[in-house]
Amino acid sequence: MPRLRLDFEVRSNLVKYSDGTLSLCYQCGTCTASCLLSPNLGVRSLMARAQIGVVDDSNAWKCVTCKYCEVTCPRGVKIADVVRGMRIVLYEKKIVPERLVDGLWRIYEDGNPLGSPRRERSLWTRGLKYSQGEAEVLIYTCCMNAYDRRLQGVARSLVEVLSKANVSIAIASEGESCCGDLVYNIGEEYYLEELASNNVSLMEKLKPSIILTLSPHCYNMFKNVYPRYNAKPPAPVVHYTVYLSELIASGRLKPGRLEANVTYHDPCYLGRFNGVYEEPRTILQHIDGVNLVEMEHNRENSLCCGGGGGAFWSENVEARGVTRVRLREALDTGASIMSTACPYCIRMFEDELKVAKYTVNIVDVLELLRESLR
Amino acid sequence: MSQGQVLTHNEELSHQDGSDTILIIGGGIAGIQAALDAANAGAHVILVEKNPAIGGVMAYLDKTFPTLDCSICIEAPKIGDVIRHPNIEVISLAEVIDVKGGPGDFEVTILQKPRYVTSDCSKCGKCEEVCPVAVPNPVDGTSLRKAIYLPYPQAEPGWYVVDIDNCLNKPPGYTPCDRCMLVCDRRAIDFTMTPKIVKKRVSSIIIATGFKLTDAGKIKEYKYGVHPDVLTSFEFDRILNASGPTEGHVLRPSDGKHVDSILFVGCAGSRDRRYKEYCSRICCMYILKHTIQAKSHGVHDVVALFMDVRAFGKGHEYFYKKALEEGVEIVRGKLAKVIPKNGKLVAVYEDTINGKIVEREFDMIVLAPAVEPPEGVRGLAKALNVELDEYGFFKPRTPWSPVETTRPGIYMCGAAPSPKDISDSVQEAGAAVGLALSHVKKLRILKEEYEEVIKDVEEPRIGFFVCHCGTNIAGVVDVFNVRDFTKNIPGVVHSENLMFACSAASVDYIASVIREKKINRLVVAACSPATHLGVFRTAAKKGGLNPYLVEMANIRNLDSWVHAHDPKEATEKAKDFTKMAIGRARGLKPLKPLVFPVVKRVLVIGGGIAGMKAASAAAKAGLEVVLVEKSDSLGGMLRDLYKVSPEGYEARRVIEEALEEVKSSGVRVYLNTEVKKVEGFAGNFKVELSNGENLDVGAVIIATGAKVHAPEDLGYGKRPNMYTLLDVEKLEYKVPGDNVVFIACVGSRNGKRGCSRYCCSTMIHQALQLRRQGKNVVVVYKDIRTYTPESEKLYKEAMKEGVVFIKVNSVKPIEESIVVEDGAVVARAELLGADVGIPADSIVLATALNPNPEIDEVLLQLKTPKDMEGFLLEAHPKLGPVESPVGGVYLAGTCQGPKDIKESIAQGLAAAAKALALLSKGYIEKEPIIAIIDQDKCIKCGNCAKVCTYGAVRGELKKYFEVIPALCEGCGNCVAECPVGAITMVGYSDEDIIRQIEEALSESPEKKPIAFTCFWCSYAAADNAGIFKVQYPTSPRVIRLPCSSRVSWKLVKKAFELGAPAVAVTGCRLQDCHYQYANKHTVRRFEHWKKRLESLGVKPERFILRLFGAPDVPDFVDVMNYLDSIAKRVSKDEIEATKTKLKGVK
Repeated sequence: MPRLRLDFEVRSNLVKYSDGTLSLCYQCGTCTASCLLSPNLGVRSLMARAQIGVVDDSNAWKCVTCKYCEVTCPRGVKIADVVRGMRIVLYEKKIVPERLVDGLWRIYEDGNPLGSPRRERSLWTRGLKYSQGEAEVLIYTCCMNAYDRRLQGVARSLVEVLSKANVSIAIASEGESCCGDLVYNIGEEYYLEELASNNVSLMEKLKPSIILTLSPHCYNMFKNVYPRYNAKPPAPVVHYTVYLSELIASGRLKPGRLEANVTYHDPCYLGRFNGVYEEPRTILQHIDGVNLVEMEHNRENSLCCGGGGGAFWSENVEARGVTRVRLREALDTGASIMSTACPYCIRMFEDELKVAKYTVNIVDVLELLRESLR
Repeated sequence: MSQGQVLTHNEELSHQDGSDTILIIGGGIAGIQAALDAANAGAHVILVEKNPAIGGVMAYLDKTFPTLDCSICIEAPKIGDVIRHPNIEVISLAEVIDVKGGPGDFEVTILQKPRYVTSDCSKCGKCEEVCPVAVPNPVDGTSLRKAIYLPYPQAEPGWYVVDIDNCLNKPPGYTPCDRCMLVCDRRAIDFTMTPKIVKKRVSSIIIATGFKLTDAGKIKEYKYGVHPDVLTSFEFDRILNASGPTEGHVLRPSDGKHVDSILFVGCAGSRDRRYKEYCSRICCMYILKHTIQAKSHGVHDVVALFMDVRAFGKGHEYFYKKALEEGVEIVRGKLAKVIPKNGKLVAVYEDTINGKIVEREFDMIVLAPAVEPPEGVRGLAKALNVELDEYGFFKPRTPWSPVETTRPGIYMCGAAPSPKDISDSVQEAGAAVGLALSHVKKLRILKEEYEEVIKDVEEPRIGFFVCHCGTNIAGVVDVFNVRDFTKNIPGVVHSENLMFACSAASVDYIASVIREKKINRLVVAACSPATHLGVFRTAAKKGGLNPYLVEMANIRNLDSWVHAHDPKEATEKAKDFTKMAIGRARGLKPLKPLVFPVVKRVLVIGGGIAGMKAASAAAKAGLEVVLVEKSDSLGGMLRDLYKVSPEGYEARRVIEEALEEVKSSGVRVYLNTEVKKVEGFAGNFKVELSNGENLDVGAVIIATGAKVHAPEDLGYGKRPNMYTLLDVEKLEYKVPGDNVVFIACVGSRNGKRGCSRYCCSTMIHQALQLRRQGKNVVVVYKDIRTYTPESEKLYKEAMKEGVVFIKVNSVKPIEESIVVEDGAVVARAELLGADVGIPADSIVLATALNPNPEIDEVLLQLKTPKDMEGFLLEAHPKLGPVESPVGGVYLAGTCQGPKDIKESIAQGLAAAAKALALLSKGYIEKEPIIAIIDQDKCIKCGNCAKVCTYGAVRGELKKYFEVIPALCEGCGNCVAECPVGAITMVGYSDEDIIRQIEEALSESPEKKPIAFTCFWCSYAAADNAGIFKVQYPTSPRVIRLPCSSRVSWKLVKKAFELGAPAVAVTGCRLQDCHYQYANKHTVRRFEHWKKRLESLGVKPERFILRLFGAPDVPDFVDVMNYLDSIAKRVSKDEIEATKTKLKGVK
């Protein structure tokens, strides 16, 4: 039998990263058995080792940080936070998947994990009207929406829809750097602090009254993570689904008509991380002709696209299975469109569709909304 | 409450002012036990039950752990005692809505809902047959019941009840359906009944409101309520029960097929932040019970999911082992989800010991939902003005008060303060009574008096009545034929038919006939003596006849109901039963309840907390108490404790309070004193103390505590910085070093000893205290058994604050899973699949509590037996946890088994209540049907003393043997054992029973097999077969005995000698015996007789023994079918040959 040594110091750090919840784990294994990556990721086993301060398991990199296991955890352990805590330790030990390190370097050098040049960051805004100073909302673009050809349309849709509602827009353009979701998930604490502080300085220059994000990952970083790294954004951070549903409620935005059977996939970082479940659905239900059907797992119990926690960048093979399962659930609803509100989700599903060849379209809620308004 | 026929009382009812009355809210086993303890002590009791019948959850369970007793078999006698007790008034369908006043004088307002059925109901069941409304039975969720129903066969108050929510009638305004009323011969259904407000004055109140199970449907991923094969544990208990929806066969609700695989799921809602944070305490053990039962019901794959197996009670560890031995797979894990697939259920969980994810198919999944307070508790708490705790259970006055609520004069027991099993509930019931009695002004038993005008009873003048029971009997049996038949029987001076023999008018009429015709034996052919003998004894008393001169022939439950299609044979059988009853009646003698004076003084041995509490409670309620303590101060082990877990209060506070109580209640305390000698029996013990004083006492409470185990093998005493939990208390938590490791189960759970129960909570408390000093603290454990809400909370708190818990193997002794090195402990950590090195500057051993051997000599003199671990044995592990099997001796605290402070206090108080019940009246009254040794015939062999399970026979070999009437319970075991027939029992003497056999076999004996039945189990099953109208062959003739152990060779021989084709001896299952395992002698004798008969050429198939319980109607019917088949098969020659052979045999 292998011999391990109880390390109180490491344990106590991991407990801290989980807001003290790690110490409550009584090892029931509900997490392991409910984990979407199971049997490839022994969640309980990770927790057991964390509890004695042993971090030697590269399984921690497999986790997609979807928090699905946390829903049924009888002790309320913040499992994803423990995993991140373990990654901090692993990063210090230089046990990190190579692809993630690559991503980290790209952010460091180019301000985005795709490795695209900084000067191309605002290409997506060609022909759109926006300011670089004061406005009603500041759109903080996700790197994915800024550079990825497929996702640029989503960002353009947001501007288009907001214009319809006569909302004045500011965009930081080339000045923007990655929100640091990947940096956070790798556990590069020092760089994260620097990155956060730089981004917040940029925001402050633009004096926004609302900071609007396209990606739930940026949303989560600005809203929940930055303040913990001494970088509090200068204005309320809002995900676009929340903002648009408010516009609809106030009557400023009137969605049009579009005939379609649509299902909605809850992005983990929007749903379980931030409790936004109803707003995207409200938007969809206000589009005349949209028939919203739910998948078996929805809202708090939603499954994951397989792209979170850095998995999108690390080409995590096990996570592809998760993507496939979710797609099949969407197919089972009979809907022709699977909508969602996260750039990672869209890319994960579309990439998998290339192999799976299912007949379902993946679109962002924004795209449907824009379509209905045309 | 003797079913409404109360005679003149010996004194004016003085309970109008409530000064002698205790109100008990809730009629489950806790409420029942509290009612009996209080009433036996002489208090007047009002028992309020929300449901139509008392009995609570226990009435519906199949078996109880860890002895696998038949639940209703052991509860029904208690229910009967409550209903018949002159001091107890039961108000069913009622709730307490308001309480005013204070201790000594509460004014209580009770709202009683209408039953719509009056006490005239004879339980014939016709209404149920015609009722057009069938609704799912809320008890099991699967079977159907009607809108008019009987809650369960043995239910008391024993009348039907209308479920008005589902009845088509909505009285008073709207009563369109009258089908039940039309068929009710007794006009017992009354839709004009309205809710009643009852006001009562009482001196104190006991809350015994029990629990319910949380809605398992809340745990969506378990699919309860979505898939029919996912059940709750309670529903599974009903499935196992012969009176349940599947008659005891384990079938899948979805398709009725036999179940091959079951998964049992622990903690379905307990210990879970989403539902209940606390441990529900009872589930682990009943899951083990269910697994063992499932195995015995032919389920092949039985898997149980646990996190910690909390088998902490007495005998529980062995039960856990038994489950493993039976091949039950016990998996450490928690069910994650259930996926229905191809008609089966796929359960997904992690086997956390090997880290494997299991996806396994099962036919059935049984959940153990969390225990929670029942509905209406909040309202009741408000009415009573008492506080509830954060979980909605009743809150205790102090952390060490097991049964006191936050308001003086109001007590609680059972699951009212927190989840509890039957034996702990029963113990707390006694404890609540122990305190409640101190508010009662005058203790006495109400007595019915009558004038015995019929003095000449030698020559029988038999009065016979046959009851029609409407058409229940008369519809099948030719009752006029039966009547006329008796006219020719010698000694019968009156024969008559009655439409309803038990109606008030009939009772008065029978009384008048007795007086007029000077009847001196009353025989009634009607229903079961189990339910109605009391009624006819009342008739006898009213007529001036001694009530022991009454006998019944059960021609309803045992005849008309079960032979509905064979009126001719049923009538013949009724005649035989009548002859047999008359035959037995001839031998009856006028008796009076035995009355023994008692010494109203109690000796408490041991001045620890249990002894102190027992002493002060008994003294407060009016007994003289002598408390002897060997050391120079009171307080016992508590004196060595610093703070008490899980709440962490200072031990000193408990001792100070108890000392004050001992002082103010007037207990005589002898310090530095031991008991030198003790002899005698219940009510009268003679005691010699070491100080030379001699005492007469009526009862002895043993509270001599336990000893802390001092382990040698781990180096305790030799290694530096190694402590026991007790050492750490003495050190007031000052332990050297930064790193402290606690090691659990040292000396416990090692094959020799079970769980020591107190240690997990104490250990965690200390671990947390040390952690708060900034130390690194690690606990190495097998299972964490924090079974109370407070201790589970402490466990979570300790985890939260950084105490590290490392689990090792749950079954092996702890020493096999750890190595103690210098400055470190290495633990084989199962959940990590690795050995973990833990820095250890100090090591604390959570050591066992072991039996205290110091008073062995006294125990020997008192003949108080010990259990297999060396602790004192209780009378019954479930329903008699406080009584020793020896009458008048009670057990308090850790002498009976490991306990924490609160539990020791509870048992101390309960022991006081038992002593009060025995002594407060100044006399003991007992049923007079006991064994008597004929000194002339007796050969002084002492066999009777050897088999008596009560120690009721004393004597000396070759000199004398006699029955101690105060101790004899009347099973008849000794009568059967006596080699020379020197022992008799009134009504059950050899002659009495032989007369019945002779009458049964006087005509065509070759067609009539004989079945000897035990009153408590097999006879009750026969009664129940009637209630369920299960039809079986008419041929067997049933003879009722107090216990199967009464069956003797003489009786068996007689039956065969007279030409019986077959003989069956039937009784309770071994562990269910009403007479403390007396029936193990039945089994032993049976084997012997069987061999003897075989050697005489009697085929073994003609003589059988069957043991089963009251609900096991199928077993009884099997016996009947079997006997009938043998009767048809056995040839005349064979019978004649047996007769001849037996003639010469002794």
